[in-house]
Amino acid sequence: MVAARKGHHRSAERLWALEGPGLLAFARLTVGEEADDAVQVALLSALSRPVRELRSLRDPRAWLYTLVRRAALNIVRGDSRRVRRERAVARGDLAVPASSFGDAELAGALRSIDHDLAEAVLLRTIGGLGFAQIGAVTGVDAGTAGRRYRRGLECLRETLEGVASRDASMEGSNA
Amino acid sequence: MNEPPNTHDQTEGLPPDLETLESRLAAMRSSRTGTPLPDVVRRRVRGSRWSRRIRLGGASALAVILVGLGPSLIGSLTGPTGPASEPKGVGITLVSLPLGDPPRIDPGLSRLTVALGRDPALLWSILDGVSGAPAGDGFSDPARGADDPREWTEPTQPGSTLPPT
Repeated sequence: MVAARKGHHRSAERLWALEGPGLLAFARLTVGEEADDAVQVALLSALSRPVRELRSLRDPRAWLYTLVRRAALNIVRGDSRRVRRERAVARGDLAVPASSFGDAELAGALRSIDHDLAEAVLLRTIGGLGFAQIGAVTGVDAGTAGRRYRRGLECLRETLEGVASRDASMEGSNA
Repeated sequence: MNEPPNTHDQTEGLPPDLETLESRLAAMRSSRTGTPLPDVVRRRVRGSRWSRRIRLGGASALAVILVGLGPSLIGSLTGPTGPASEPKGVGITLVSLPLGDPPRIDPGLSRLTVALGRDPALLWSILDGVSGAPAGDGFSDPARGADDPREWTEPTQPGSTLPPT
């Protein structure tokens, strides 16, 4: 990140290749199709910091996820009039097809469970963060992060099983 | 940046179906692999200058230039509900400068206009940041003057075309 901050383009590309997919998937949980905005705002913020500050980071990955989370929450919580207009403007050019995120069923299930649980699940499975890091990003201790993760997986399983049994009963009634 | 996830007893002893779910979740990550580095970030890394003060008919104005914006988005922002119609305390000049060589001014706009890249939220943050202030976009290269003639020639009247940067 320091090299990217100094203008080393390949380092920026490498950073993006490593972290971009995870950051986008994580942001998508909170802001849906505006995930690109949140990630871009976060990266611009990161790359605007003094090199000395970047070098002093103890955990750059967790910090990046924290920036993305903050940017996403700002989009959600922002002044309603401004945000509504931004979204209206962005809708046409920035909409990302749901299919571009792969497993639509799983993505839908993630959005249906408690947001704190879904965050922990995504940070762990897609971001590859440990529980201490997840705790740092979301403002809880590592133990809480771990419990949220496990509970999140269980909720996801229940949600997916519910969808599957509904589908099966619908097929049965149609037969 | 590649610190391995710490192992914690919360994941020990996960039942097989939850482990399967973990794998399925991890696979979601690859669905965005290969997405190119966003232009707006690329330009930031390269230190491109996106905004500067210019003069329009003798009045100082701030031009914000972000690259790669679709014409429809520019049009919607410069319409009756767009930021151009809001008083901001300083002259905000909208410049459409799509990607390409040479860059070009959107012919649909009679004034110099701002291009805002793919990121309306970023534009808003810039506009909010300059409201009531004469400058301060956060992106200009402080090593160069705000009106550096090496990259920018002052247009003499509204509607003038900017030279390629």
